[in-house]
Amino acid sequence: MSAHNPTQWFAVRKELGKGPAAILMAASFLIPFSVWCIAAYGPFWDVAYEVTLSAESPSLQVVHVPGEKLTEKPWGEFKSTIEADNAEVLKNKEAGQPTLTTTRQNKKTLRQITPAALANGWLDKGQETDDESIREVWKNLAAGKLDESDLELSAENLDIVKSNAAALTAAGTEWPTESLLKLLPQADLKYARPVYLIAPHEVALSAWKSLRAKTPKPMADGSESSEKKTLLQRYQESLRTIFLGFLLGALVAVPLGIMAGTYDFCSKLFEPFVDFFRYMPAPAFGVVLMAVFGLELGPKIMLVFLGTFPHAVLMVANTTRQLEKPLLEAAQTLGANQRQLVRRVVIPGIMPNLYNDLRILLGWAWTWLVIAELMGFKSGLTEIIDTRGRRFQFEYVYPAILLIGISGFITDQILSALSRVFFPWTHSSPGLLGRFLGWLTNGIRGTLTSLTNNREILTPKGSVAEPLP
Amino acid sequence: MIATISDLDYRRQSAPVAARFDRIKQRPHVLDVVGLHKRFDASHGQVVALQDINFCVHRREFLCVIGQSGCGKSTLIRILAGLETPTEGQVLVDGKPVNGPGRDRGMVFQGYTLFPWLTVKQNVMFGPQMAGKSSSSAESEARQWISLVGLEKFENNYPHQLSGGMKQRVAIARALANEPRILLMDEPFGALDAQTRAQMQNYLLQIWKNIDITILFITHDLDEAIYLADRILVLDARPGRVKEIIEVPVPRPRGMEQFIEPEFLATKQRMQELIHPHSQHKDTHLPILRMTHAGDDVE
Repeated sequence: MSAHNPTQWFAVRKELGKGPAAILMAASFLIPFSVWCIAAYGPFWDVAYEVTLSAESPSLQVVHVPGEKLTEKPWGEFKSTIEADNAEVLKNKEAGQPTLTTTRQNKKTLRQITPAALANGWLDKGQETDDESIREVWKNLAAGKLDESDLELSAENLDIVKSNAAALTAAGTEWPTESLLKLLPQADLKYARPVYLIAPHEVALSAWKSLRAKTPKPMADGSESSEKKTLLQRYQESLRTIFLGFLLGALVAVPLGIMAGTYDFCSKLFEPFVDFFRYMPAPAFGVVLMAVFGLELGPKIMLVFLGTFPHAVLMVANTTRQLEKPLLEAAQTLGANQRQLVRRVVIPGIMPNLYNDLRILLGWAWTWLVIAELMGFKSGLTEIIDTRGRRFQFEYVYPAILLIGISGFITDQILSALSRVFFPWTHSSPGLLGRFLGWLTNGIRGTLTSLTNNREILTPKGSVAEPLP
Repeated sequence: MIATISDLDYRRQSAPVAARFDRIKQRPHVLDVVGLHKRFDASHGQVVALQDINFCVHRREFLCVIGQSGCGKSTLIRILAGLETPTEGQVLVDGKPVNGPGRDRGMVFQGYTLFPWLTVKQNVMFGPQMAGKSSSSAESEARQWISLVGLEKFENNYPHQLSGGMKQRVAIARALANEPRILLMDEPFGALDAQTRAQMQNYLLQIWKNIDITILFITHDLDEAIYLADRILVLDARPGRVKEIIEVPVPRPRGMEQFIEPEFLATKQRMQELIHPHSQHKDTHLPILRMTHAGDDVE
């Protein structure tokens, strides 16, 4: 766009210049992203209490687990209920009739501290059910030997810790029979966003953590922890499912499609059934696939295959039929026989479009991924999406979903750029990546001569005719 | 203007022209078309595209086929190429009946039919390779044909990088690389602009002069036909019949300056009579409807 000709942003079927196009491309991502930011950070959400230390009481109908968000009123009720429980224990004690309770109940009370103990490193992972260790934690905490770095206990709770520690010490190695005091619930102040609305920074943070996570070691007793695999390992599983399914689909669909597009015999023989078959949704065959191929990778690949191949056959057949007939006629007048027509004209002629078809096919394969991975033993990114989603831990769900989107998008962009390298005769001008790759391949071939030729053909059309020798 | 010189008979040939036709007629026939009929089935019954076509083409002769659009010119050339089968009749090349497309009849189409995935050189190599020649010998042959049409500098370019005229020159080279007995050309310059077209006609005459090739050329352009042809076959429309075969009295070598010579104009007038028999009687003037008050510079 020249300086004295301002950009016309809206002109019917007129292409914008490179600058405006780049701006719009950026905007196309920035607009949805800012909608997300506004929704997450906008002043729409009340303050909420995110439980960090929880407590249980017979007078409470529900159990509030750490991580839960409560609004003002239920939080107040929750806290006052526990306070009332403690007050009763104290009152009875002062009245000389201490509340008696079971060892089990007291152990349960002591276990309240585990979230803080784990967060601050007072307990190792796996010691959550080791009551003697927990007991030591209480005593050490009361003695001021422990350092509260990540999760600080409130002053009231420290008093309770001291009081309980005294009772524990008094009981010696036995468990006290009197009821111990409960820790009061603690909470962080957060915004009460809906559970599914995770702020961008939280998603980024959890994605970063998941990506950096090391493979968890099997536990000391040999059993595996609940988080068996890292995000990247699951991602690899998903990639394997996708590419094997896609490969199988392409291997079957491309030859069938080319044959159907080339020979009317094959078209009439294959296409009606394939056309019928594609209306039956692939997931409907899920149970059959599991019965035939087991519960591991087999049915997942086959589902991606079933979901893509019928469309692919019809699409490839159509692409093949779109090859201009005059090219075939020209080849015939040049003496090509039937076999040569297929090998030397049909196949090379449809290559660029076939390549595009395969790109679309790969896109479809991605859309089938989640359904495929839900079949049999859940696997790949879907396992994260499904299990975390069921626990409302959406900060783990979104990175997995985004990873699928990014992978699909980037693969397609790369393939699209490569297409210009593979098929230099197609009319499209190379994009930035395409030009770079073209430059790379040209450099490898060392054909500088082709560059000089290219320069010549840039002369205007009318002036190219050369006189005959 | 045409009326003033119409007293010249287009059939009157100067001595050199007559001698040339005598020589041509003594040469063997490369192409014979015998009793050719072509009928198509349409929704409203049968359509007769070609009716009883008979003609021959002598060796190294340049024959143009001319007619209105829709007169069956393309059907005729497609039958000659073997891309369509006649309902009745026969096409003979060197006396042998044709059965489907073959290397003995090269064809240049109106549209651009170069293989877009092959470079200029690879396009020209296509025919020889189909015949089983090794790529090295096909390549050296292709080079010759490419230099014949003057495109050596472009041998490694892809078709989409060439102008329309250059594409058709490659198409000619590609057809000639098979060394066919006859070159069939279906309005090959129809899509080109006037200037390129004149240039291409010139090239074609030079190529024809330099190699042993017989050409059958379809066009609807009267000037083009007269400029190029030894004989012109005028095809009638609906049904397509041979109306007349004109021996062009314009001497060779041909040049653009001959366009205003009496032989040229007489031939052109005769063809106009044959192709548009009624047009002279029609009122060709637009009604005078003055819609401008501007100055009279135009007049």
